[in-house]
Amino acid sequence: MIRYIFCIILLAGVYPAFSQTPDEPVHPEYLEITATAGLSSFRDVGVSPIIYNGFLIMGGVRYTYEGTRWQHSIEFDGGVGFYEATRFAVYKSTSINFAYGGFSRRQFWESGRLNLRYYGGVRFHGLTNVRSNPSLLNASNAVESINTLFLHNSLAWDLRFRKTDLTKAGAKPSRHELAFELNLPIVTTSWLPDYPYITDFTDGEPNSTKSHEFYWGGLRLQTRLTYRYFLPNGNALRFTYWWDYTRTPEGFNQLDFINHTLQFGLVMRLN
Amino acid sequence: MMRFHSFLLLILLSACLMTCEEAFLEEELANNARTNFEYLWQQCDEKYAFFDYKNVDWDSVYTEYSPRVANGMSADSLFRVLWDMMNELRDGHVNLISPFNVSRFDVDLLGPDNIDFRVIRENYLSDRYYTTTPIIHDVLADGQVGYLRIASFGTTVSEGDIQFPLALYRNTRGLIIDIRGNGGGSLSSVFTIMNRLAQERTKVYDSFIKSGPGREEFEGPQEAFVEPPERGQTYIKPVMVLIDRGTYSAASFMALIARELPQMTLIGDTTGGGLGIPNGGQLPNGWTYRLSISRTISTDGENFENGVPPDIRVILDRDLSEQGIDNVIERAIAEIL
Repeated sequence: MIRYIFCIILLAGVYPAFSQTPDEPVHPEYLEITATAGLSSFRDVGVSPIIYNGFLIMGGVRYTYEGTRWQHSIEFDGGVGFYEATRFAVYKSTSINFAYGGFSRRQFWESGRLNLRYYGGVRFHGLTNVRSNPSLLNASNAVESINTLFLHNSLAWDLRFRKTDLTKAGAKPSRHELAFELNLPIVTTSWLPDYPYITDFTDGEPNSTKSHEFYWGGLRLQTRLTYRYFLPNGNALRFTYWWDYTRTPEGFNQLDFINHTLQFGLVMRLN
Repeated sequence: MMRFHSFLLLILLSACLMTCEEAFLEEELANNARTNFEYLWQQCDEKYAFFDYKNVDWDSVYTEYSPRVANGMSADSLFRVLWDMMNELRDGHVNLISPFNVSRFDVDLLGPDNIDFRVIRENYLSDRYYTTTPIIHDVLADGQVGYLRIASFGTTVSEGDIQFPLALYRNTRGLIIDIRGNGGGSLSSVFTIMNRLAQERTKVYDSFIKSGPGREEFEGPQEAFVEPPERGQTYIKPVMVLIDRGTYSAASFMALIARELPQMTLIGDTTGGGLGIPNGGQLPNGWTYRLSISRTISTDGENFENGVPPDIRVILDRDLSEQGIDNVIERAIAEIL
């Protein structure tokens, strides 16, 4: 069933993609269904000095508009993570993860000879996690949210015009794109468990908002290496290797995250 | 060739950043006896809430126990040293948990065992007593007194769990709530019960929770109230709450709240205390621990961390028990009738 859906999306395409005339200015819009899997590590100093390692799987959607100069995108992913640390015993932690954000970027430079383009702009990316580690007793559950506004840099190598001997005479050359993205933090905010770490239930009513603190600062870095293969109908397949490092401000509840993820996207052109 | 170089450049840029995380992520603490000792001592030093109240000189504790810890000692030996160190806090909410052992401080042994439930089952409860989990209940004294036995708050008490017996015994002259030996559990269960026994909205205590590593860095007060619900069964006749040294944590909170409600009387022995909420954490070797990180102060400013005293002190008479008499229950019945 999934295979059929996959084929329908990629081969049949979205109808309007065939109706454009070649001379019409094109500002493509894409809707993307994503699947993400990756290796992940974290350390939550608030409750443990140990690094937990594991994997996460996520699914999501993304919308992208590609104008002549400006491109905009929003994305949302949700999933789960499974982690463990082995010492005298195996300690397990699970998480429910939400990732959301988007970018707004402009093309600043282009080299026709090299088929290279440089985009600059801003990217917003947020992570909200609900983690559970039963061995930590009353501190078993943690909710955190880390949100960052990045200076977005992307260098894309477009192979749209490349014709090789393998391209059949008269056939439309296929388009490939390889892009490297470096996101440098402008500002990061964190919402983390407070000093006692536990939800304050001393009056019999758990109050999770009272037991959290809001922080400015910390370190966040992201790189993404993306390969897109465009089909003749305007749809595409996307593969992204995504590295994300997060460190909240130094303190009693400092949180470190490192994610190495592979993301696959079914990109459907909407116009 | 230029395209190939560009491609290579992108890959190298990615690889460089993706592999340099070791530079960002600090190394884990060494997993040896000294590190684990130091870490646990520090965590207690910065988070434990009752050093002054319990007159514990934690620096002296370090001086005493530090020479007993050496790298290379067995895990069991380290566990015993850390257990001894944590028991200097004399707190039932302080535990160290390893895969092979759990440390404890036996608060209930500080006083006599004040209940023999076999005596109650054989001589006070009928054959068909109710079990509305987690409450065992029946009527005593020819139906004049309702008896509710709550051995633990480990199972949450729902509104229905408490409304059923209160409706059943609404025509009695008083209630006995027996929480002797109740080691605690869900604090919300205590409020579920006590709200239905309160005559009006009543402040029952203040709590202060640690907000930083300093000995007196606390946030609060957070005021706690009981308040009769607008709907459902309530009970405002006399209530006797039976307690002993085994009445701990959430059950001790129940005793503390009972002090503030005019129709309630505490009968038995001083509770075990445990009015500090424990958090949780993990050592570099994976063992987990918990320790009290909050203080609870009564409305008249007293700290009952070491136990809530009874209004009427009654210790179980073993000779009477042999005859099938629970003199603590008998005293409660007498107070009601």
